[in-house]
Amino acid sequence: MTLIDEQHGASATGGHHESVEDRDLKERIALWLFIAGDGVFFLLQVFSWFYLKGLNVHGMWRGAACSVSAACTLGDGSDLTHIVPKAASWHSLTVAGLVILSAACIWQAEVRARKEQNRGETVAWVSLGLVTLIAGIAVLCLQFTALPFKTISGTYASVFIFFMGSVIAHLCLTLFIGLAVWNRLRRGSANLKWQLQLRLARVWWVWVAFSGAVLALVSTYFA
Amino acid sequence: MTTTQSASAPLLEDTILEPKAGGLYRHQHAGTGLLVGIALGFIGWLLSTSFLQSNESFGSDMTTTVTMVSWVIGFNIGVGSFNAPIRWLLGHDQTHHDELYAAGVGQGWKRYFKFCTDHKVVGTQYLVLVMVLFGVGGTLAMMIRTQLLSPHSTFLSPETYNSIVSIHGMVMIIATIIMVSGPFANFVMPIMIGAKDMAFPRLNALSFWTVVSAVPCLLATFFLGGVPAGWTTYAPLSAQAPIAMDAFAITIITFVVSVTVAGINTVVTILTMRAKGMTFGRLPIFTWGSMIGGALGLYAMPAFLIAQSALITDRVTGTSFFVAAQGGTGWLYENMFWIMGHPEVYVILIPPVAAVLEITTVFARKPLFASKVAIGGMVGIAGLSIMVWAHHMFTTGWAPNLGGPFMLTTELISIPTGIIFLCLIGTLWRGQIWTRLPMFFVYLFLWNFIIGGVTGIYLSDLPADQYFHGNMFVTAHFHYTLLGGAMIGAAAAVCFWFPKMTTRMLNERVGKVSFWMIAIGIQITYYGQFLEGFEGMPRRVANYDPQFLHANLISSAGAYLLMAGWVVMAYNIVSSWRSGEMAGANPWGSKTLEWQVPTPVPLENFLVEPIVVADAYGYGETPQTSTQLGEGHR
Amino acid sequence: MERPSTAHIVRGILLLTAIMTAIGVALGILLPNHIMPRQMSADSHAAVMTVIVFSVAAAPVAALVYAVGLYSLLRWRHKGAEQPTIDGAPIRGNNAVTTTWLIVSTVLVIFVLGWGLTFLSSAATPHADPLEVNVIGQQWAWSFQYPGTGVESSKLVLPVNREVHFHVSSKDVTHGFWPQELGIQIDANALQSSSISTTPDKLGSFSVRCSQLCGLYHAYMQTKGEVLSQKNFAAWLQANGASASSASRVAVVAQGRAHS
Repeated sequence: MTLIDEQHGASATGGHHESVEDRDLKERIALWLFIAGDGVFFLLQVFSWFYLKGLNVHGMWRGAACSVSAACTLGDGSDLTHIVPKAASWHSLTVAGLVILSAACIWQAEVRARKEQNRGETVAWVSLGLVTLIAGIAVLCLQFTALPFKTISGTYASVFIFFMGSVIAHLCLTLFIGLAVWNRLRRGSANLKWQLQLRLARVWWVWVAFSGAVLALVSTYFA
Repeated sequence: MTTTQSASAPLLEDTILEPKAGGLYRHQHAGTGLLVGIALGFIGWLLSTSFLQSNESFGSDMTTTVTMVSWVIGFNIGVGSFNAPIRWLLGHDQTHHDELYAAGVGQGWKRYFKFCTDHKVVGTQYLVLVMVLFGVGGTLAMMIRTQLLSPHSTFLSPETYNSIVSIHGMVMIIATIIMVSGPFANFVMPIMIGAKDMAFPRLNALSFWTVVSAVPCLLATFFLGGVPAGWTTYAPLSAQAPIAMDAFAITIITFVVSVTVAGINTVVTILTMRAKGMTFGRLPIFTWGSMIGGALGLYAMPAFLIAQSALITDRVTGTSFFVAAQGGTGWLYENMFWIMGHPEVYVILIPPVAAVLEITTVFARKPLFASKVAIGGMVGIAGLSIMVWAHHMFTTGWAPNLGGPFMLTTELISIPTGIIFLCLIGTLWRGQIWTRLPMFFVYLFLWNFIIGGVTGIYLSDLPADQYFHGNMFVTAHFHYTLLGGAMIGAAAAVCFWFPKMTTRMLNERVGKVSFWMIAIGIQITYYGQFLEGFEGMPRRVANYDPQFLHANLISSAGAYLLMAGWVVMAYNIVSSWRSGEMAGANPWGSKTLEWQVPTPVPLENFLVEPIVVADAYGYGETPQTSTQLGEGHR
Repeated sequence: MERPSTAHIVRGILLLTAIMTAIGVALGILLPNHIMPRQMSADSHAAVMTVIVFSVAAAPVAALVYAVGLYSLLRWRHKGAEQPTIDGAPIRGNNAVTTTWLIVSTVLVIFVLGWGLTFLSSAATPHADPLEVNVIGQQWAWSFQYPGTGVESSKLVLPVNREVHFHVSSKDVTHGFWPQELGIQIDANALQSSSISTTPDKLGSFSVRCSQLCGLYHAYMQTKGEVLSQKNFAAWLQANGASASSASRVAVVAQGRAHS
């Protein structure tokens, strides 16, 4: 049973196998295109934050115009009579730190792999990257339970929770990719292809870390 | 594991596969997709109603959303979309025979109903899907125009009418986005560049089946209360809509995945899989158009995704992106939407325009006039389209000071658009105009797109837009450009590439009958709507003041003729496909690579690797028989 | 195939262009005033003028494009359904033509842009002592408030020759405030107020429609408007509940500045 055909890249019909380098070039371009699209999504998220904060429609960004004596009535029975408290910053900052750390581990894995070609060591770094990633996901889930507001608590809360959802989705996708890379590293033979796939994973990982960190910082320091 | 091929080796598609080749794919097809989709959808519905809906924070919106998402995921599991990624995760990569099976070897007609990675199969699947979608959208259009036959018609209730208008719009938008990129960028483009398939054949199949899984969500809206908010589903109106709106949003989100994947595939294929000698300078214009349109979609779709995701969270979880009472604003939605919406019409338009230019060279027997400038024009249109979105928002009160800048960027688009016209008429000039069916549609495109383009200039200028926004003039303008321009370009593409894709010739006589019905139908229908707009009739109205009756009668009469024309054309396509005259490999004497391979096209397109020595526009310069290929590479 | 002389070709193109330009210009000048609503302000006048001017400007361009296409079809058509045995002329491009085309289209764009910007700047100059009217849209009716008088009406009544500032907002979804014959339009957004101004310069009635899909009875969300003389406007205000003093304060501009 053939496991990973490391020597040759796949092609749909398997006629003339393309070289590993050709395959990698395609995957790299595809990855950058995907990141570009994700970048648009990311920029629009950041835009939404500052736009809604700036407009502060009806004073409901964090309910600044509301008070117990002059409640902002939402019309559906749930009155916002207090200023929405900021989420505790340590959650977001920890997640940002963990994800950056995770990306750094993957980067290190790739660097060491290129230099020393030691599969065992590479697997170790990737494992560390996975562990920190999972920790990040766990802290995010914890943050959900500890939020001092709900989705219905105005626009600050809305965009904040939307950011969290988006980061969790990206982290889960990264986890899938990371597990695949880790598993394939453990199983395959030592040659060029796994380093190239690791590089691809690293590029994506760094993007997720960067965008996640920015969202964490924006939502913490511009509340 | 390598297989070397020589000219005397058996064809790849005749390979006898191992008994278990393909793995799970052997048992998967559209039917299993349907089954698993329904099953998972039901499970999702059950779980949601049991555990989530009872939670005071969520309601039936949550259930609809969960059900639709479960359906989409289930369908794709069932049809086999996720097989390869899971195998990749597990390290059980596909063998050579697995890949051949996935490409349809040994399955005959059944491969058209499966997750098949052969780009030619995917292209054909898309062609059928597009025709079905246009049938649905066209039927909805006829219901609209029938309603508007009288001012106070009760043929449809206002609620039903508003929903029909909205779904007509969305079906047509989906159909027009994929009408050239689906069938032709998939089937034709890889052969045109000398490749044996696309860069990511599995992603190709994924893009098709994803759209297929999205369509039932869209049609389900009719059974879930309807979406009476326009295809644009502006918040806060869409926040009021019944649970059908959640199904609509899931349609969009799913569709975004498809377009993104397809765009990446197209761009990477063109960048990395051109045959030896196929430099960018020799690339046919249709390939450029496919690449530019695909890339533009990558920019636009994420904006659609965020707009609809935020709408879903507003409806399902009570966030307030777009709810003013809680800090949100409809302006945010409008900005997100039009950041998508304007580039998106060029995603729709650029591939057919490029196809029209390609076809013109063949039927005028002439090089493309100023080809580099044509490419520049398409790039210019795409680039500028990113900066014009707020011309849809001149009258929203959003940012009065930005009226000037957006007017500027919008006016500027007329320059590269004008270039396209120059290249088109420049190619016709002193040609040998061969008036076969594709050329008929090229001329119709020319006529219609001038009208559509010029009326767009009226709308781009504030003094006129202050009158025309939200009235039928806008509707007439975008129908002239999208139907009269883009869709007619797609019709030309169908007529042109039909012999290569189906091995048959379209019946010319029936084709010409359909052509004249369509051509005249378009003019009458949309002249009527321009008149409605000038007179002051708003758009999206189920009933209207009797003063608009005259214009509406004209438009509806034209619509019946137009629809009849499309029906005749559809009949022509189907009957010619089944029993038309057999086509040779190159009935049009074209020089591009797809016409240099046999019909029907072999599995990997080229029996011998092509080496390109010239571009495809050597008409009048080189002997009649020469093509792009070097000697000995026919 | 014999090559027609250059003069021949130019004559043919010019003839076709001239005929189609004439048709386009004629339609562009004659039609708009007939099919567009009565112009009751400088804004609606600008809308109609824009249509006329742009049509006249676009006509020769469209005509030329059509003419070249048509001429090519008439002059260089291959007879018969079989594939042509000879090719067309191997023209890859023509720098002079392309450059001229680019220059002309740029000039046209500058013209069109200038037209729009001129309109924008003239619309932006504030006038003294405008009439303030609050426009409130809701599903599915318009109501108009005249601050300072306590008058609220479902019909929009305005004095002639006096600038009116509309402050438009919505109670629910987005609506489009569209007093057609006044040639302006602005959305009514929830909890936001958008402003737009115009000066009605003719007496008579006009229609106010909703231009932004707003739900079930969007088609019916319309009402009538009326432009009255300054005196009749004051009388109308009083008839609708304003006190005599507030009516005269709001309705009548200081005598020295009135144009009635």
